[in-house]
Amino acid sequence: MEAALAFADACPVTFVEVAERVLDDAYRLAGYVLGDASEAEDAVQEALTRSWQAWSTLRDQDRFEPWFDRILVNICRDKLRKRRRVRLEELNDDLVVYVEDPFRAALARAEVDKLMPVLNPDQRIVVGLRFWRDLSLQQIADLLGVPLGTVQSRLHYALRALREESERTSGAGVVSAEARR
Amino acid sequence: MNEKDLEKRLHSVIDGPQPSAPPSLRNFLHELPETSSRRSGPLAWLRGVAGGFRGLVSPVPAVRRAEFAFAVSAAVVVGLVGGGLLMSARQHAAPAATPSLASETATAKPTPRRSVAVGLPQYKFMLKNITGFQWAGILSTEDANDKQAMPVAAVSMKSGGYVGVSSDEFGMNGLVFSQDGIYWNWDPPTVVDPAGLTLTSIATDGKGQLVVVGAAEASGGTKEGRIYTSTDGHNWTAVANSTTLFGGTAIRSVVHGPTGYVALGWNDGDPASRTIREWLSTDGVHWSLASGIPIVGTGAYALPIGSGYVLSGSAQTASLDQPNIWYSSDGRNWLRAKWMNQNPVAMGPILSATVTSSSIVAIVKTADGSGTKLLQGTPDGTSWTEVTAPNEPSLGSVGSIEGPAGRLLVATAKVEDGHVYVSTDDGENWSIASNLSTFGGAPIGQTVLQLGVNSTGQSAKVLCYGHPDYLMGVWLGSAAGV
Repeated sequence: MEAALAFADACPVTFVEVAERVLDDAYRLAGYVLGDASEAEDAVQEALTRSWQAWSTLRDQDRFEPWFDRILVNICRDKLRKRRRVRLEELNDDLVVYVEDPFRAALARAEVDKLMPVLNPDQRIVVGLRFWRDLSLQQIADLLGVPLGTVQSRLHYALRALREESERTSGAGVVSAEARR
Repeated sequence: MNEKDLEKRLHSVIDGPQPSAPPSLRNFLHELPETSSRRSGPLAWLRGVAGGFRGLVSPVPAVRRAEFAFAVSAAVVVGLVGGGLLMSARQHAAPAATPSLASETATAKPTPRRSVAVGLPQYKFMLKNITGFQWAGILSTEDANDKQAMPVAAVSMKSGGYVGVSSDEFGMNGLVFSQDGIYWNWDPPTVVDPAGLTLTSIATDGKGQLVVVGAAEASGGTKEGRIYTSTDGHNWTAVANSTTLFGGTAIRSVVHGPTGYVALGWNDGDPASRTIREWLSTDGVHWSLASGIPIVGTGAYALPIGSGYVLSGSAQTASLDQPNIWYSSDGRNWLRAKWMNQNPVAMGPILSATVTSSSIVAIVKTADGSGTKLLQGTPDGTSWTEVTAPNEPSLGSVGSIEGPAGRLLVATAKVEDGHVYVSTDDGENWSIASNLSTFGGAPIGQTVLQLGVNSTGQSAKVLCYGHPDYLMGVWLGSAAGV
């Protein structure tokens, strides 16, 4: 066993190898959080670039995934913030070829795509990590480096905002508002 | 809807098969240099055992060439509307089949593969990659404080990221930087020379050297051409003896081709009597004035091609017998091109051109300047013919990329008609890629296109930028599946 460990110690594990293992999950996390496959690819590329540059600073290789996820989530947050400054509009085009975005499609199937814009970037990230990465609240807090209470609060307000938006868009909000008059 | 229903609905997003990372992303990862490999510890080894002894049996892949830069095989083309003034700034025109911008050493920082955005002061540009023939638009807010910097010409840096020459309607001019090619640092633009000058064009040799050109205001309102070199985009060195070399002429464009840099310059004033001057350099540091430039008048357009350079402008002696296009293997000795198997065509200078694997496709002004024509040249630029495409639009700017299924040309219209046009047969036939009229109009006129494809050719990335209704805009599209 000692010989095997020594041999393993001598075998360099490359960045590519460890990153490959998390690539699909990372792409899905970015895809659902951003709601856009192209943006997700951008974000993961960016995260790969940044993590590659900082690879030598990672002390514990077994912590690669949460380390990488944190980088990715920060990039997604930046993208979501910038999205609030620049208006991104999908064009209703005569498309020669239409390629369906799997993330938009999944969000649309679940009928939450129209609700997500009401969330701020931090809320959207918490929702993504909780429901689409299936992390516990404590795991989310660890990943984001924020107190557990902050995660609980963000999730609470996110769900409330989603519910309100759902009611508003389904007309219930309008009816109740009219009924109140 | 109660909370439980909402949570159920949110959970249902990930019901069913889940998307995997696309091949282009996987390829990007596998092209990362592996100099940052680490030694694994015992835990990693044990994980390797659990994972099928991967940690033990996987050979360390050979160091891969770090061809991070996706191809920007189309040139950066910059034009100024109205004045007839043309500027250009190009990467070395990569032959169509070799789209990579640069090879980087294994220690260089990787740059995410994206196209570099360019534009005009009037027409702001950005970039984006996307898959499919889908087009999307980004409009910035009208808040001036929110305006993003956008370069009028840009190149990728060997060290990663991009550097561009930026200029806005308020006269701010300088270098701007971007890590991702989308968001550019603007506030304030980096000044190359505190003495003050206006930068107009940037080029790179693809090996780490950057060259910017421009002009300083001299006493009496005359222009003094200036050229600066840098390897990091931040520290710039002025070419020695600038006043002697470039004095009296504003330098408008620089390109890098097979034998080095070619810079073109001219001064404002009556276009009919303008003198076009050309300077050459093999290293970007030492420049000489070329004496044989055959054009005069309304500006000049230079395009690097695989065998040298193509030049366009007004001929010193007007003649219909030959096109207003010249070719050269060294940028110094110019030979006039010929018409190929057809009657002469009256034409003005090239507005925009792109090199494909089998030809050069150029948009030229009509002789009276009122419209455009489409020309196709042989890859060496020696022979040209007019392309009369069915329903040929009046195009303003063209770019090309090598997509997964071949060469794709993308062009914008000279007039605002709400369309972006694409061609897969070197301009013989054009179709409308997307109707952008709902978005305030497509990019128009001298709009610059910048196209790129990643080095694996897995997905082509197309972008073009415009300035509809005085809002900055970007139109995104791609050529996957073309």
